[in-house]
Amino acid sequence: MTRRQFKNHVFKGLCVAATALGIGILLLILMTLFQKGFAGMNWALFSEVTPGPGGEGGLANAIVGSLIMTSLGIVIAAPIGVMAGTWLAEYGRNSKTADLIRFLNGMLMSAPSILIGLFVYEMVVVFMGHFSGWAGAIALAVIALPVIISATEEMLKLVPTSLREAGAGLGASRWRVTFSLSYRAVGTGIVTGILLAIARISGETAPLLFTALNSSFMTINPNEPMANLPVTIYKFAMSPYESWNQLAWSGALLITLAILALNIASRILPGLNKRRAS
Amino acid sequence: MMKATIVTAPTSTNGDAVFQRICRASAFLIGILMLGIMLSLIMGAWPALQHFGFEFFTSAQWNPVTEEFGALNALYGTIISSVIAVALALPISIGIAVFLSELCPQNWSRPIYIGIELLAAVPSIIYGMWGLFVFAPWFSQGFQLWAGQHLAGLPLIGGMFQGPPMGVGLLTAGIILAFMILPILTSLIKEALSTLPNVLREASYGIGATQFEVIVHVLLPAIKGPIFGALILALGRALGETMAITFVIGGAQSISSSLFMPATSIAATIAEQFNEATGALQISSLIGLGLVLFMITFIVMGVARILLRRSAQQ
Amino acid sequence: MSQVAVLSDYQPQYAQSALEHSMEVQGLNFYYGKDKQALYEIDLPVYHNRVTALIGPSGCGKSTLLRCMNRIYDLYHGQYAEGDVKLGKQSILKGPIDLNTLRSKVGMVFQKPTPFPMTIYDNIAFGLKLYHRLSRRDLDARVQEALEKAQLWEEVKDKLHSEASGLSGGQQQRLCIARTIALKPDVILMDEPTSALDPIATQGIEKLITELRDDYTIVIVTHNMQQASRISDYTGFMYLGKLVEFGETEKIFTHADNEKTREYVGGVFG
Repeated sequence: MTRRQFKNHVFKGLCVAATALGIGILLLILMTLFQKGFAGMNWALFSEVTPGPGGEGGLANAIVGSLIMTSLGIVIAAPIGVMAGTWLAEYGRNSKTADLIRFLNGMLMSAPSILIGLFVYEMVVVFMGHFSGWAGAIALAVIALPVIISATEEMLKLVPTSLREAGAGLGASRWRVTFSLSYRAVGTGIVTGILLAIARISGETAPLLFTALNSSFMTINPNEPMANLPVTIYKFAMSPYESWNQLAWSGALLITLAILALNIASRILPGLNKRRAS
Repeated sequence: MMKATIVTAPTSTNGDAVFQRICRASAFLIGILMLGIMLSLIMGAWPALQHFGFEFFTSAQWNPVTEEFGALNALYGTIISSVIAVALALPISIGIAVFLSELCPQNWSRPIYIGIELLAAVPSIIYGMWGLFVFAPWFSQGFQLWAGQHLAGLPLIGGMFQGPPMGVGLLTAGIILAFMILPILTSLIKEALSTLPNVLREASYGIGATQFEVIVHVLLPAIKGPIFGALILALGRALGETMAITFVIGGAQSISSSLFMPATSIAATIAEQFNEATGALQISSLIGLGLVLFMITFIVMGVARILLRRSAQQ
Repeated sequence: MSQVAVLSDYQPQYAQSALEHSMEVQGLNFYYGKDKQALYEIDLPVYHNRVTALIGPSGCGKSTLLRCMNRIYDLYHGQYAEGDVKLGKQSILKGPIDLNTLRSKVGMVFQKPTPFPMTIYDNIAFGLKLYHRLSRRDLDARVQEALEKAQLWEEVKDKLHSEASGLSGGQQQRLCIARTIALKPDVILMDEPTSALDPIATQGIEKLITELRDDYTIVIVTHNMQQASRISDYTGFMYLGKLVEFGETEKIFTHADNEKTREYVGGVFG
């Protein structure tokens, strides 16, 4: 073997090793979650509320709280995000204002989520005078918003000009073309973006710490502090109590599986759409 | 024969104007949000900034009892852990990107890439738990013990590896962060590689170069710009990471020359102390830390975006 | 104007015609932006229930002229027209007009077939629902009528509710024509409707156009001179943004007045 060939083999080996490391980390994390979390996967996890220190219980209130706040967050963010994305793609286009908003949207998307938490704390929690599910939902909405905006814009940019002209050529107004033709043509892409936004916010912990806080009670009233999975996992994982640790691992497994499922679903969705169109 | 006039009720046009206005208002909300975040941080931090003056940024004091607060410890931990993360993740992500786009058979590339991308989907708190309960014990028994025996005595770099093998600390935080930014770095580098024209590869292989020579001497230099942009972007991500760091950095308000020692970061300090803060000055100081983090990430991300956009235009 | 002065010497000879005008273009100038003039002083009559063809080398402005006749250019920022275009007695460039209503009266068929991402039935019903409140039965009838006129009914009547994207290119284009005529427009504009189709499908569309002539006024842009001579009653030859010559198709193709026209139809350039 020549020196050149040897170098080539070493190089390729290193690339393979790097890839194996990346995939290996994912597998290791999943393995740990199953190993430590699976034991606690029982009915009580979904039916009982979080226990006191050292006690036995489940995560029902945290699951419900997370579902409520994530849903509220998406319900707030999705329409605003889709319309803002529509403005960027259909109306603002290459204008300076649109460019500025695109830039700010990128910055918001990469702003540390704990800062979003601080912002909502000062705007909502201080204003209302107490922690609440609403504050948590708003913080999650602020995080989901830029994801949905950029997905919507990217998707609408894929709508061919000919489709818009054909719609306008029939005498359809602009918003009608947008609703009946553009959204329909790339709708699944936008839904994918929203799914990814849900996946993104359902694991967020930092922005909930000082907005929704946490709660050991079952509540569906977003005016009160609300239990939620991520903060409960954080609190329980850091605690010295074994039963809490167990619940933390089970919750971690639950949340990770949900998020991976959302991610995989979002990958399958556009594929289905393509198959139908062809 | 030309009947009906076309000046009829333009109701649809009204609908257009309304729809456009709602859309524009939604888009402008982003500007308002960014402005709101900045203003709320400045206003919240104002009492602390007024009380401590410029010293807030340079003081390594963080003492809730004596109500003395300075940002330096957290700033140091934030920057060092992020730099470690980027330094570790860059070569690995280049390796993965090269493997996926240049070496690996097409039908394997996609599932492996999805696996790498799923790393980005795993929530921060999971990295934290895994880092604290699985990685840290293993790390302290393995690398840290070995390094304590073999590296700590070395001149110059020895100091970085001194101290008890506790598992948690600055280096652990950097390593966990490296795993977390791996997917974004990989996908940006892979994307940059895919924009290179095939002629470049064909011409290089055509003169009998090995894959190593083509990739290292031709392809990677051709995407220097995008790689640098990706690096800065990943740095920005690492700087603001909160939960994972809170678990593994050790939570110590101190600056040590050893990477094995516990430290803290801005985000971790806020996450740990905000709800337990005892006085208005501490809350304001924590928001002040947030303001520092906001400014750093804003600048870093802004630079990254400009770099990436410039190299995309070329 | 001055740069092509030689070409504009031609005197319009159709002024005495007894035919009714469906549309009339008068002194039209068009700009794709400041200092980017694309059309110069165009005068063009469009006769009722006749097929008017616009021919000329690519870039001559024939498609641009067509896009002025339903103001589709209004979708784009910075494009504007001066002069006048009349639909009947109504100016469509001056005064307040509802562009959407205009476009329902002056339909357009595009170069590439553009089926909407919905079923065949919904493609036709889409336009109808914009302007008419029809009962389900009336809607069905109008859809069938349009598809029959576009000679597509027999081929699609059993799959009305499957996706339009499943049709062949020629079928898609006939669907687009059906979609346009379902609105019963006064004028149909066709922008090179066969350039993306194979010869057989092209034949089908040409046959369809000659049959639509009895009921509709058609303006067709084509780069295919044989097509223009086969299907049109009147032909306008455009060059460098000007209408060089206009007249009965037979005259344009056999003894045109203008030398440039003779050269173009004779295949000397193009």
